[in-house]
This record gives sequence, structure tokens and C-alpha cells, in this order.
Amino acid sequence: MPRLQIEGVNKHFGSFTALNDIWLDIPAGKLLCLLGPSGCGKTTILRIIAGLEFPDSGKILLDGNDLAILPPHRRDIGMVFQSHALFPHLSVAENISYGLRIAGFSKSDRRERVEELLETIRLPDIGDKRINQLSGGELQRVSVARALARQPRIFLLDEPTSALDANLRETMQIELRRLQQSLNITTVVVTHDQSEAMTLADLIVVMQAGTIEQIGPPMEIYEKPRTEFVANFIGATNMLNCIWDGDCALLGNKKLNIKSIADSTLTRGDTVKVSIRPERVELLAGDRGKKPDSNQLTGTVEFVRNIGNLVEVHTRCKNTSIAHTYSPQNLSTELNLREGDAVIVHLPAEHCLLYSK
Amino acid sequence: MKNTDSEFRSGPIPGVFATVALGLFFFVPFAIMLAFSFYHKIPGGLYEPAFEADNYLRFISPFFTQILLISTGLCSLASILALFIGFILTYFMSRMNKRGRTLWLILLVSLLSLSEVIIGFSWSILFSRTAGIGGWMYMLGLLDAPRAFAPGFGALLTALTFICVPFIVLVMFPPLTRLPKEWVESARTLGATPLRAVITVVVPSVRPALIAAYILAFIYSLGSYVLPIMLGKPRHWTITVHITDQALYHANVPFASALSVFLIVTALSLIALISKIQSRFA
Repeated sequence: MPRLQIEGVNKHFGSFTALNDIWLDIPAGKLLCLLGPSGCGKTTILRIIAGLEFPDSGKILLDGNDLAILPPHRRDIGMVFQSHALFPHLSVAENISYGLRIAGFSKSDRRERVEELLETIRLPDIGDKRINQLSGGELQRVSVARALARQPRIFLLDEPTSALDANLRETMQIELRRLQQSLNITTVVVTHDQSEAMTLADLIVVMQAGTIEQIGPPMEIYEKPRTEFVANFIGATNMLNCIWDGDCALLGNKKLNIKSIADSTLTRGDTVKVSIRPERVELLAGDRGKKPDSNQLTGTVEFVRNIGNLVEVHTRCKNTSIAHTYSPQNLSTELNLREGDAVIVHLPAEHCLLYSK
Repeated sequence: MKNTDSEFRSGPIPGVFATVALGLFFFVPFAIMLAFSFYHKIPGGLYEPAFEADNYLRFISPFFTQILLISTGLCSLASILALFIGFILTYFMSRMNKRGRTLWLILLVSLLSLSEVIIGFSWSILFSRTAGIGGWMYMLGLLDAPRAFAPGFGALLTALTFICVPFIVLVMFPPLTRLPKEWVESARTLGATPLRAVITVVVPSVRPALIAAYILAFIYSLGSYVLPIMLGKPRHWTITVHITDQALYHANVPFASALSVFLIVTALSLIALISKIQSRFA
């Protein structure tokens, strides 16, 4: 499987900057997720790789060869579109074999490959169906089968599960990941769904306004978001407005120690934000008279909700609301909290991340 | 919303008006013409009431069979050419931005507003010996001497094609602009060249509209009267010209009526075919 590199790609649509100096290196056989809000440029990158858009500058290299001179039909890519883009005038089997027919495969080879792909997507009996007879999940699977029919060197998926309902989406994400791993095909997926990115990706690229905010494996992105935007975009987080005090952050008059501070340009009095994931927050039995230790705040439980696999507790600490989550299975280790209970909120220094404004 | 479009249209007056208008201006004249088509022609330009099929039996004479073949052949060919040009033009229009599309639509609709006489004169000048294409070709050294291309089959075919193109565009524009651009793009990523993507994806997807556009162009060109007279030789005259010729110059109203009935029935049958095709694909 080939390695895909994107080197210094820029793209403008009129005065709008869609991509600003994008550099990416996708190792052979890996799955990279482009994650970001609408309009951040992730689909533009996918379309540039496919040859459906041309970069203003920069290179797209496939195993070191520049793709710029190749039109889409000669790039040997398989692409799944957000709208599936299946041809309604053809049957399922004809859709899947469309690329094979163009490539000059014989009728028997086409039939064999279509049957093989229908088995792969676990829909062996739908070859004769029309496209308008398929459900959302079937459309998704057929479009994947069609894109993979010619065994492309690169597999591109644009928001592959966005049209599906929540349960089906999760099933499809797992199926897609299994399929990609079994084929060991270099893949780029565009999504705005962080859980999809976490499920599918070997590498996540978080984008905003045409630039890359952070690249890394899913857990690294989750545990160590490099910017405030990434911290907010990937998973839920508590974002606390603080003042830098030289060696720690001040939340009101409470000192918060931070273990690793990447920004060396901070000066005392700067406005900063401290981020901590809700599951990293610890709640201790509150005693209204007790003085909290380092990185601990006194607070009152404001709201509790149990959504089955997760309990979420919102605590008011003066002017700040801090969320804490835990698994109800670990109930024995947690307090049985109700609204109005006094608690001590512990924000462990090793899990606090600091962002300058 | 209370005042919906269907409620607005649901009153009895529009329906009554349409029925009266259709009866008065179409069915009554058509019935008179149908009756005349069975009348007997008397030498001297007169006719008498009768019920004979002689006027229809004349269709199977070699002369009128030839007229019918030339008429349908010429109009079929013009419609095919117009369909080809119109489809390509509309496809590129559908890929333009809104401003470009609007400009092209205005241009094409303004062509529809031109009288057939003006169009005929314009083409006859263009195909003339001195001022037109023949003269330019001579100046460029492509011809030994200036020559006129009109009257002639090519000139008539060109003009008929020209008047049909705007109709093709108007019929093809909505389905082509509605066609998701991802269909062509996905065909491209599956290995199709741009042309192959259009032939294998776009054309089959808009097939009902293509058939409807072709039939509309065919009916319209079949009804053309001025262009065949101005740009064609007598052997290229369409059935419409022959109807006038029979009615005015040969004073044979019954036969002209029979030809007219044939023309109307053909047109109505084709329109019914369009409706059937469109309802089948709807």
C-alpha cells in the first residue's frame, strides 16, 4: 500500500482561504481522519487528493509521485461521497461493477468481483435491487463496495456515516474500521463527528479555518489537546477562566498547580484557560467547615443526571461550574450525591492543561 | 398557510374557461376541418359535402409518401442535431454559476421571441453568395468562386436546428441543473473520462427529458412554414407548406384538411407519448 503525502497545499475560493499551508504524511495502510467543524477545509483536502479540486500551490505525492498531473480517472482512488452518489439508473450490481466495466474487466470477472464484494459488505442478495429500494445502511455499504471494486491504492470517505441514525452509525463505523484493517488500504476519512474519528482513526488531524490545529493518534489528541479549540472540539471538557500567577493559575483566589506548561511566554497577570476532562475531576465528601488542599475547590452539587452508562455531576464552585463524570458501575467508589450536597472538587495537577488566550 | 396554491386554483371558473376556450378554438375548428377532409373536391376550386376517404388514400401515393418521408426525415434530423447541440449547451450551462446561467437563459429565450421570418432572412443572408458564408469561404480561399448555400437542404436543416435549440435547452435545463454533481464526480473517481461520465451517467439519468425534448423539437419543426419556403427548394418543403399549397394554390381544401388532420393527430400522438414517458419515469 502506498504512502500519501500532502506538501504545502494552499487553496482559495475567491477571497476565502479554504486551505492554508497544509502538510500531511499518511503512512501506508493507515487510516487518517480529517476532523473539524463545517467549512474548515477538510472536504477540500479530500477533493484535492481525488483530483476533483486543484490546489493553488503545493503537492500531493503518492509514493513520491506527484498526482497533480493526473486527472481523477487516472489516480486509482476509491471515493465514498457523503450523499453516496450511487447511480439510480443502474442496479446495485451494475453500480458496483461500473468501475470494473470501464477498466475493461470481462463480464464473468465482473460478476465474480461483485459477488465477492457483496459478501464482504454482508449483503449477498441485493445485487438485482434498484438503488431507490435500499435503506440508508445498505446505500452506505454499496457505495463502499463500489469504491473498493477496482482495489484502489487510496480509499477516501467523505462523512461516510453522517446520513445514518445513531445506532447504525456506530455499527457502520466499526465495520468500516474492520474492513480498512483487513484490506490494509491507505485511507482518508472526513468527519465532523469526534467519536467517529476516535473509532476509525490511526491518526486524527484536527482542522480549523483551513489550518491544521493538531495531528496525532486519537488518545494523544484526547489526552493532550494542544490548543483550546482541540480541547473543546474533542470530547467534553471543563474550561476554566484563570489568571496566570507566575508558577500557577488563579481561579478566583484559588491556586491551581499545572504540571506541564508548554507556553514559556506567559507573564504574571495574563488571562489563561485551564482545561480538565470531566472524568479526570475528582469529587470528595464535602465538609463546609473544612479547608480544601492544593488544587481543591469547595462547591455545591448543582445538577446530577444518570444516562445509564455514565453519571454526570455539575458542581458550582463560586462563579464556576465544573462537570464530573463517572461510570455508575464504579458507584461503590463514588459518593451518592444529590443536588445541594457540599463537595470538594479536586482538579489533579497532572490532568490540568493550560492554554494562553 | 391557508391560501395555498391548490386552493387558489380550485375555483370552478378557470376550469370552465379552459373547457370553453379549448372547445371554441380547438375542437370546433378541428371538427370542421375533419368534416372537410371527407368532402369531395369538384374541379374549379369547389367542393361538396360527402363522406369519402379519397383524400386520405392519396397519402399512399408515391408523391405524398415522399413528402411525408422528407418532412419527417428533415424534422427528425433537425431535432436530433438540436438535441445534440442543446444538450451540450445545457450541460455546460448547468455547470456555470448563477449569473452565467441567467445570461444564457435570457439569450436563448430572446431567440424564441424572434419571428421565424427574421430568422429565415438572417440565415438566407448568411447563406447567400455575396454577403454570407459562401463569400467568406471564397475570400479565405476555400472556394474557387463565391457561392450561395441557400436555398438548399443544408440551409434549411441549419435554420430548423437553430429554431429548435432553445426548446431543447428549456426542457433540459431543469433536470440537468438538478442532477447532483457528485454523480459525475463519482464516475470520474471510478475511472471514467469526462465524456464517458456524461454518456454513462448524465445521459441515462435525464433520458425521459431527452425524449420529451426531442419530440417537442420534432413537432415544432414539423409545423415550420416560413423556413422551408425561404431556405428550402420545393422538394424540401415540409407538410405544412404543402397544406398551404393545396389550400391556396390548388384550391383543394378537402385534401389540405386531410393533411392538416394527419399533422394534428401526429402531433397529439407524440404529445401523448411524452406524457406517458414522463409519467412512467416519474
